[in-house]
Amino acid sequence: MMKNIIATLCLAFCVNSSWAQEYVVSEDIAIDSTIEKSGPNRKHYRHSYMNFGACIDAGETGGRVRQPRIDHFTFGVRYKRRLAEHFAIGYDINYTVNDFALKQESSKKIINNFINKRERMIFNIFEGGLFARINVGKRGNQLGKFIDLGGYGSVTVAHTHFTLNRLADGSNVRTRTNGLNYFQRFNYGLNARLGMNKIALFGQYRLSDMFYANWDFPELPRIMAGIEFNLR
Amino acid sequence: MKHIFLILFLTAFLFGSNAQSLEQDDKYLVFFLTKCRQHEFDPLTFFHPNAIERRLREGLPLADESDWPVCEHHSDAILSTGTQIKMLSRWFNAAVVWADMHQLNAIKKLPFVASVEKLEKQSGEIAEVRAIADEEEQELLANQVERMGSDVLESEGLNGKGIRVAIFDVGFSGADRNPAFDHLRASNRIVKTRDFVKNRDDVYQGGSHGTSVWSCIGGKVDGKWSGLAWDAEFLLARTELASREPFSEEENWVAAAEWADQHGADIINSSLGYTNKRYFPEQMNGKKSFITRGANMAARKGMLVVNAAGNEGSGTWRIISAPADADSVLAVGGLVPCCNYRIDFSSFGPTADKRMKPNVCAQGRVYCAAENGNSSADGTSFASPLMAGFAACMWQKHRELKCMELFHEIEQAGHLYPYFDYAHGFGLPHPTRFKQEKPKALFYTLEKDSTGQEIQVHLIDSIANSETPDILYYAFVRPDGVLESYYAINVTENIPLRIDAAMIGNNRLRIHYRGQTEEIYLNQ
Repeated sequence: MMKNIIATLCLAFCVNSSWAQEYVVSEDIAIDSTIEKSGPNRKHYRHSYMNFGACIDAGETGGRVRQPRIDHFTFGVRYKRRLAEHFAIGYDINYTVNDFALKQESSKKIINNFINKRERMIFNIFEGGLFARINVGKRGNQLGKFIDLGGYGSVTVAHTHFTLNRLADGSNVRTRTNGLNYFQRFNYGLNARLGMNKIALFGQYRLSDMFYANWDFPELPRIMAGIEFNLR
Repeated sequence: MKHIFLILFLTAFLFGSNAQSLEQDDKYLVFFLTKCRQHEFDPLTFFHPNAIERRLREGLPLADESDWPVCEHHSDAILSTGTQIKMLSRWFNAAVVWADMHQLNAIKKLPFVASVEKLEKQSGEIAEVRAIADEEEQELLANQVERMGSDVLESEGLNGKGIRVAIFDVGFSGADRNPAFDHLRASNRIVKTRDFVKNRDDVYQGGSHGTSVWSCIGGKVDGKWSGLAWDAEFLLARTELASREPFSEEENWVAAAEWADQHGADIINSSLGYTNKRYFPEQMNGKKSFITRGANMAARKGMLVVNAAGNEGSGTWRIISAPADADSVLAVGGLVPCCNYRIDFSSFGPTADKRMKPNVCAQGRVYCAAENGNSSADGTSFASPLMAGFAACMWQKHRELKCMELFHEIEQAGHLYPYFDYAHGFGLPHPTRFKQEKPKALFYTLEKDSTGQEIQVHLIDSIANSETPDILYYAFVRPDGVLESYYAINVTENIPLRIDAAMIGNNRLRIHYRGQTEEIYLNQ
């Protein structure tokens, strides 16, 4: 039985080999004739993106942050549904890190008035957004020039409070605190983008308060802006 | 309150530039209804004698309405709206203008305005030069012209003499001092130059792509001819920007074509193409783009327009680019240096409306002049001027041919004709096939196997007698004549092709090998 199988395989191999053709061109025009439904200026478009941003406002007195500094990083995916040549809607979901470096000044209130050498609050966030896109000008299969206006909602999945202090003997003391309960887990706001093909400027305005009212903390910066790169 | 200011600031920051761009003038193509009767228009003084001769050869009137200049009254009225005119097109009876919405409305109300098209400022693509390293350059140089019958042309004294070739490109940097063109400079065969990007005559800047392209028509590299039409006359036009490629390049192209017409060009070589930044593949239908319409008009004026198919074959775009989609443009694909099959980057056809493109092909890797010295380069950009040189030689020999007759004769001189596919068109032309009856030699027979289920190609001469492997081409042809799929295989066996009869279905199986084309249709 085994011998038969081997013989059959050998025969199949020989027949196949002798029929082997060395193709230098092999084309099916269906490939080139299909009108794609997906693409930067097609009906559907899905792509990833990343952005870097900074706080534009300094925050309220007592909650001011150091500037200028990259405070914001996002990586996400976006879907765009083209409704007309100049109009589309879409959504995006992303993972965002907001890293606020608190200014150590006498008026500081977050999270107390102790002056550290360095103090940071890091928020790890899952965010989802909806937007409407207006395109300007005709274009081929490209994103072209666009303005996006939309809103977002986010949930903070992790928050860390860092401090750094130097003792009299020159050694550094670092603290890292998690599981704090003074911040609002859910936030929402508005965002806008002004873009051209793979690059956009973005701005984000947080409408919700970041801290629970009973803690009486001043607000951290509400406005972020930066640059966004549209990836594949 | 502070937040409100910040929001306003951010909004202004984000949208300020856009608001500004919305307020800025946009560019429009304004078509006029009529042309003023031009009593004083004298074609004999307006056109170069070559252009007059071309019109007579083509059976065209010395001048028709499309040759008359745009009415001064029309352009004056446009200017009176406060707009700027960038270009006037005789052929399209149109003006390219910068206008804001207010001015646009005023223009639309003018009684002689037929329609207005908005032009965009999108970018396009030039067929690119790809440097390659350490090729056997001399072999490449010899091959690129010998494959197109340079020895035959030389023996017949054909070198493009008396033919005027216009080259549209990004610039001709270094061509004014490169020894590859010494023979042309010495005999004053650079008839005119024009930079349509900067509105001046100096074209020897902007990029050296044009220098390389030009040398593939009429250059002499390392003491050898790198093109076939080295005794032709040349009109050099810069229509492209290398760094930034706005839509105005298409306007420049059309303006250059009208200029070439006026100055008696017989052939236009354009190694340029526009793809996804402006268009979708389904718009490559020979009608959509302005440059495609301009190229067709140039052909109607009796100029043979030769254009690179494009280098998108291995990219996502894949197909030919505008203006190679124009039905009257001879679109040229690229072949590998060794053999008669497509080089990997050469763009495919067909057009969106399923017309065959490219029309023909030539070597897609060349040794050519560069800004400083010479270099090897890849691209259908160079296959196109090789073909333009071939066309110049054939037109020199058969001056009686009209433009589109020459076009079809070149197609019929292709090594595949009457077979074609969408990678090679009719293949590589050769002077020995130009206006010649095809020899009816038999190289293979088509047979069915004993079961009757398989179609086999049997070579008449054993493969052992063949020094170099040949290519067998076959295609499945739909009832409407469009190819469904097509293939080329290296022949290494005496029965190089076996096709299951069931695969043919309602289609026809068309096979080409060594000039013999056969077709099988099973459902007769």
